[in-house]
Amino acid sequence: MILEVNNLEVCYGLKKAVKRVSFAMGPGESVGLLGANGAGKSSTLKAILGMIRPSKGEIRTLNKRPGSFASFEKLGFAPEEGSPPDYLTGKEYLDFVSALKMPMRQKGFLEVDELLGWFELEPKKPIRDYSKGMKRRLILAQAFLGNPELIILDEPLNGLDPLMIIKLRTKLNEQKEKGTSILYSSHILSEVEKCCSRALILKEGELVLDASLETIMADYGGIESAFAKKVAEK
Amino acid sequence: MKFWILLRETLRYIVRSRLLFLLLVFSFLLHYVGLSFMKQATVSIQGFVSSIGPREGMFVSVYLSLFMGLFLSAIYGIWMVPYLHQGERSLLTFVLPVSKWLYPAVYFLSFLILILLEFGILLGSFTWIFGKEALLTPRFSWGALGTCLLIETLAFEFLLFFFSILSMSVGHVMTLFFAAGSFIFLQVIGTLFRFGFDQFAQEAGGNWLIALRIYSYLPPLGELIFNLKQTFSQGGFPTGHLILWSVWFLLGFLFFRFLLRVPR
Repeated sequence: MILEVNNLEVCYGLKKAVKRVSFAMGPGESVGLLGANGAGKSSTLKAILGMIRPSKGEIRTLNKRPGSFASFEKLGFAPEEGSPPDYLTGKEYLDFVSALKMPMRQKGFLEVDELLGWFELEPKKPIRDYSKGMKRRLILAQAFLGNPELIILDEPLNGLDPLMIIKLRTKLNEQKEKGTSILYSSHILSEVEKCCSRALILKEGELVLDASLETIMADYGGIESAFAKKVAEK
Repeated sequence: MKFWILLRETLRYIVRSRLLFLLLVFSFLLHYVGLSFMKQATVSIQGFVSSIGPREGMFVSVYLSLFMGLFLSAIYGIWMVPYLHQGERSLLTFVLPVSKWLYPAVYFLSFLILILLEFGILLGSFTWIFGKEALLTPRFSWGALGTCLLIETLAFEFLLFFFSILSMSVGHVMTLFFAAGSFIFLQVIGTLFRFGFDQFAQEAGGNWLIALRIYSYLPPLGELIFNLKQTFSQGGFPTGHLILWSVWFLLGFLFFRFLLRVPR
């Protein structure tokens, strides 16, 4: 398994943000993580990445404990709100991340150039002079470095123009064909429908639906109606 | 390998943030101007007039580098070290496949490079003003200079981690106030001890003795100037304080490492 989450609970003080969430992801699987604001999506992602310690439960990310630096060699993560070091240029930043992730430097350099082109980034421009959209694209680009086995995207469409949304979708499909698993957290249900083969819906910290897209289509007619039904029902 | 990649990026940050430029210019001005004034000055004590020679000049240089080092450790520790580990930037730093041990090691080495550069400017300015003969004379004590620079290096490296830990815990502004407060407090206490306060505490006993014992285990910042002066004027090696600085530096290093939550 690429990712295993068993009975995950995350508490902030007395408040339980995530309650007994369990799911697993296999190689090449693309899973959408959905939920209203405060449903526990970010807390789940943070626990998977090892940024917060779960109060209960067990997580194995790429067969390693979450947060171990070895697990990050084959894991790409694009946070919703991140900021790369602004004293570097776009190319320098990707080279830096690539050098840490890729033992084969030459291959890394080629990958960096390819990603710079794909995400339409100006390689020699300092990051501090990048627009908000360009910074967003740079954050997404670094998640694809190092031939990752698992890519975790947190609200990846924020700040992207429609053309880049289409390109990102194509890039994700390319990765899936390579066998990369993708965990895609988003508010945009239609995009999850296009990119993912399975959806998880969280409501007030609980996993209320874990089903393949085919099942969702058959049972609910689409992700939007499944989401409306599961999140609205008491 | 990853260590060198991190070190290269840290050095790039130092250069691009203009810290290196600031260090070079400010340090050169401080040492060169300070020593120039010193060389032209004369001291008159009870009618006996003497000019200030290379030995005193070197002590002043070492003393000036103390302020330069404090200034550097504050800037590097409060603003630059936390840069990758705070706020939105930290999310991207957290997921780099880098062992947590590498970060303090890189900050230690990059700051050591800055300190050595500062010492290089110290020696360069001294040689420029007093001539290289002043360094080659048998009267010049390389041992005393080495001891002073060693104790300063340990103190600055400790302060770097102290400032970083505080800055990452309570923020930049609070760190500045807290650090300034601690510095003044330790300096005042250190000066009081020079005037026999330690003897008074030992005689008075009770809480005074406890306070004295606690002080003796704190970072000997208040003793630093006196250590330098003593080493230069009387020679010797402040072994106790060097050990204390080493212990505090190691504690700072370890605490910083444990302050970084991930990667584990």
